[in-house]
Amino acid sequence: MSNSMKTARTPFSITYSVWKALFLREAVSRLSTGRAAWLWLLLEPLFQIVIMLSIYAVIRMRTVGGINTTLWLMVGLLAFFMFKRTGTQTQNAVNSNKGLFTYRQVKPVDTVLVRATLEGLITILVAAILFGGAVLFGINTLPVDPLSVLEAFFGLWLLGLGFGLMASVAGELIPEVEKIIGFMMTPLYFVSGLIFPITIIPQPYRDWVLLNPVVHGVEAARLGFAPYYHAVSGLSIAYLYGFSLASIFIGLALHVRFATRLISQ
Amino acid sequence: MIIVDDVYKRYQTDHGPGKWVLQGVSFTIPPKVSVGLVGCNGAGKSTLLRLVGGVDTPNRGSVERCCRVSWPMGFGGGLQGALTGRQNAKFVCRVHGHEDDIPDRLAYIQDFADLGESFDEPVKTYSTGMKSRLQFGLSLAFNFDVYISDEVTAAGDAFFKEKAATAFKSLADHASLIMVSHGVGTLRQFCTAGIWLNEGHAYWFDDISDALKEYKKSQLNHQMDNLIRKQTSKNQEEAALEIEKTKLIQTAFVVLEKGMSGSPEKVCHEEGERIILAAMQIGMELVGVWQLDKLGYQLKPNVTPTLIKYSPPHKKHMDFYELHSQCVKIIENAK
Repeated sequence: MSNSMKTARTPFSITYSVWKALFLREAVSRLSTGRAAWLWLLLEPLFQIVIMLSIYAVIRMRTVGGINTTLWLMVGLLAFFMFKRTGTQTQNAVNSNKGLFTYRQVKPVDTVLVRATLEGLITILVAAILFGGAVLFGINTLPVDPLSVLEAFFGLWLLGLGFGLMASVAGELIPEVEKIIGFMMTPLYFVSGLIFPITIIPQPYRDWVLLNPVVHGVEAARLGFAPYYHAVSGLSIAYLYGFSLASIFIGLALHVRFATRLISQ
Repeated sequence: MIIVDDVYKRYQTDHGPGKWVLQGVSFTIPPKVSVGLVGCNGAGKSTLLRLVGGVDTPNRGSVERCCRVSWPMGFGGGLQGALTGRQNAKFVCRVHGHEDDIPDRLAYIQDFADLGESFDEPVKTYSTGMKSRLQFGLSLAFNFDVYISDEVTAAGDAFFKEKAATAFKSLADHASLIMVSHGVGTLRQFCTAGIWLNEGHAYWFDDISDALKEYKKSQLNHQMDNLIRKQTSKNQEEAALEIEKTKLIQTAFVVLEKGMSGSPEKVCHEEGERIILAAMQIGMELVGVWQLDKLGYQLKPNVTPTLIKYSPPHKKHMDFYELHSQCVKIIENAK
């Protein structure tokens, strides 16, 4: 920007202050719009866990892949939520912050990055609260290998960010994309090994399912909680990270290419 | 100084690229010169402001800003409805790198916008006037060399306009304004130079009055053409009805006691009162006359014009000047 100001700010300091301002603003609107907005952040995953848990209780399945069903479900669903929430929230970041592009310091990609960060932190917090709550109920949800759990969750967050970066541009350019993403989310839920283990899928179809990067993150997270878990063979955290970084790259490239189109009304 | 050089702009529509909004617009705004933008709806005024404000980029050409330029203040833009006025103000302070002195600036904004307790209510509950007060206060809280205003002053009440004018005058020695407004008075009050936008081209005038005159002339010609087209294409009765319907859409011809020479407001001001009369040819022989306020709107919206029968001797459509002189006669008689 050709602002030959007396006290010209460096591009880095502008970006930093924009991120900070956006972060606080997003946090306020995410946590305080509507009645007890923060409560719903907890209730949504909790509700899904309880529903699935009752189904498993009915079919009297106590363990999955050698670990407690409760733990298996909780870790799987919360890991998936890490991807899904980050992805769906960031997907709308550009659209719902359109008014802010009035300030030329704010770029569309800023809103996506900030939202992803906020959503990642919120999900980590929600997961921590739910795992802590489970401990109070006597379920052993303390991870044996916390670092690999974080690695898996971080990988899923990166995947959500990459997805959000791409979808936020695609959705603005081709509105139909949003609809397609909408009905793709439900099948993804089924083929990510959340409600039944991937290991029961016969070959060669299992290999096809393993193309889905979410599976790798979810299974790796479970493995971090219980090293004796019979994870699906062919599990590769590197695949998840490779996939995420590639999608982040494409997403950022799209944001660079279409920056002006996103701002134009 | 702001240099706009050969700027072309069009928007992407659902059916491919739209028509050119701006075509080869070039002008230079010298430092400390306040400029008013005039032109009919859709002439590209807001687009031009967005380009000057750096929010959007031109398809071709360049906009160079050699000074600190504010964001374009406009209806609703830059405010998030779910957050309160205070939260929005904090956000703008942070974006502009004034994290440290937020309390001072908040105090200024709160004082200027004068929203009372509503400052802590969500912006979506604000009226248009309140929003524009907040926006104006927000931008005045920062030291810009050029402030861009897209119709924000229009919505405020008289007291606020006064306040904005005073605040702005105190800045006038080191800052200037680029504004869009449909209020002739506002433009004259704030601006010295003018830009008239017409069919994608921009015309620079060193005096805002000339820009306004040029704009008004083109508007009258346009409306005149429209009416004549309607009258010739239909029979008299239909045409009369048609015109009756359009009478609320401002005027057919703005007729002044002293004619079209000179600018309307000046003439009225000298007289000590603002009376503009609008007249319409209805069918082929009737002339309606009624009063307009200074902005060209009807004083009492639902008043039927005084119908005065007048038949042109040659049984043709009256041209503009003939109609005008007839109206002047009618007004003289009414007095």
